[in-house]
Amino acid sequence: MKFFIILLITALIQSAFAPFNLCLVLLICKIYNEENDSSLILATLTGILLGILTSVNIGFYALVFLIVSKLIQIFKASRISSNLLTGFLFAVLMVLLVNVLEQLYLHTSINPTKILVEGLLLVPVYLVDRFIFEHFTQNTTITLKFRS
Amino acid sequence: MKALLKDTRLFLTLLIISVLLMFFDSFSIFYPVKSVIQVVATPIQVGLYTTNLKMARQLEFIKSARNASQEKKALQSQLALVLSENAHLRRKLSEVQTFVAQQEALNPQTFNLLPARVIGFSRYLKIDKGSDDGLKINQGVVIKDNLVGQIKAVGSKQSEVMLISDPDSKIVAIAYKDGGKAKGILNGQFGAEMLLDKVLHQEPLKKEDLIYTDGAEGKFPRGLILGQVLEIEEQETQLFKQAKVKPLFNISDLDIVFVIRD
Repeated sequence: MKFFIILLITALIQSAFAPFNLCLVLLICKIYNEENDSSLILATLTGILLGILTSVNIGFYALVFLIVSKLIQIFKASRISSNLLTGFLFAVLMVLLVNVLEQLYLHTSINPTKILVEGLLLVPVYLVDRFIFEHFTQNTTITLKFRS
Repeated sequence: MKALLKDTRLFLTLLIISVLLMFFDSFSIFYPVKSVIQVVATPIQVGLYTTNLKMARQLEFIKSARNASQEKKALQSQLALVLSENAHLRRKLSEVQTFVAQQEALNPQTFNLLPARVIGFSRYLKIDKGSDDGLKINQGVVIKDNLVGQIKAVGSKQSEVMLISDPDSKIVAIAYKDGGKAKGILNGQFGAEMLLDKVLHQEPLKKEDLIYTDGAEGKFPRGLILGQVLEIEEQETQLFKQAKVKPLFNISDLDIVFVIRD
């Protein structure tokens, strides 16, 4: 819920004046840091919200963010995801994918500066989110092992 | 494989929902819902946009102020340079004008003149030329066709000039008139004025007459201007009449003078 509020504020800022896809950056970092059942639902809702605020087809961003979230989940399950560099490169690839889809559906031109800034923003946002997750989030599920 | 199957049902459900949303929204079916949400969101977006604009303007102002400050410093240093160059050029121009005026006054083919810069003044005028430049004691110093004085002391690089207004200065002087000429001795006095003494009563002399060097002593050429008569003191009981004479140049205006070498 807290994260959804943060996404809501980010979506408002993005729709008001920010020329970069801040919601995408936030979503990628969140799903990469903390994978749970609600990641896909969160991605879809974020896409719908962004679609309403930016007056774009509400299903477009919902679909795009959902696909990106699923791809990140699949990537995280692979062996190469343990390396931070490959993870960063994959995240940049996701940013590029979203920009290409925007060009195809919304007919906006691909801006290399936008992709560069969004890619660079991934690092600090990821680190901040990881810090918050490790120090301020309680892990409620505790698994006990019994020896017979 | 497990990763691919994980959350597949949820993913497919959400995928179908998203596609349906895309399809129906292309026919503007969700327009009323979107309008209601936008009614709430639009003022917030406007507020954020306005705040962003204000912040951007402040940053722009700070940036432009910084640029302006840097430009000002650069311009100030350039201005100082230009003023310095201007002063230098003005000095050069003044020197050139002095040289030209001197050549017009005294024919350079007749007089061998050496320009010298005035570098100091107490009782005597100090100039920046000396024996290394061929100067000797008693050589005359002029500015245009006015006699300034004569060289009193010579160093290797500097010399001292005794002005015609110096109490030790005594020059045979003459004033020309239509009715004749008046001859006397011009004595320097402390201050700017000089005294033309030993002038016979019958010799014509009036106020504003110009006084020239006689040239009889051989020290100075004939016809150099010494000054102008200010006042005549004439008493019948005295043998000679006297006249107060003031020079036509101002000592403080002297920047370059010329030494008559021969």
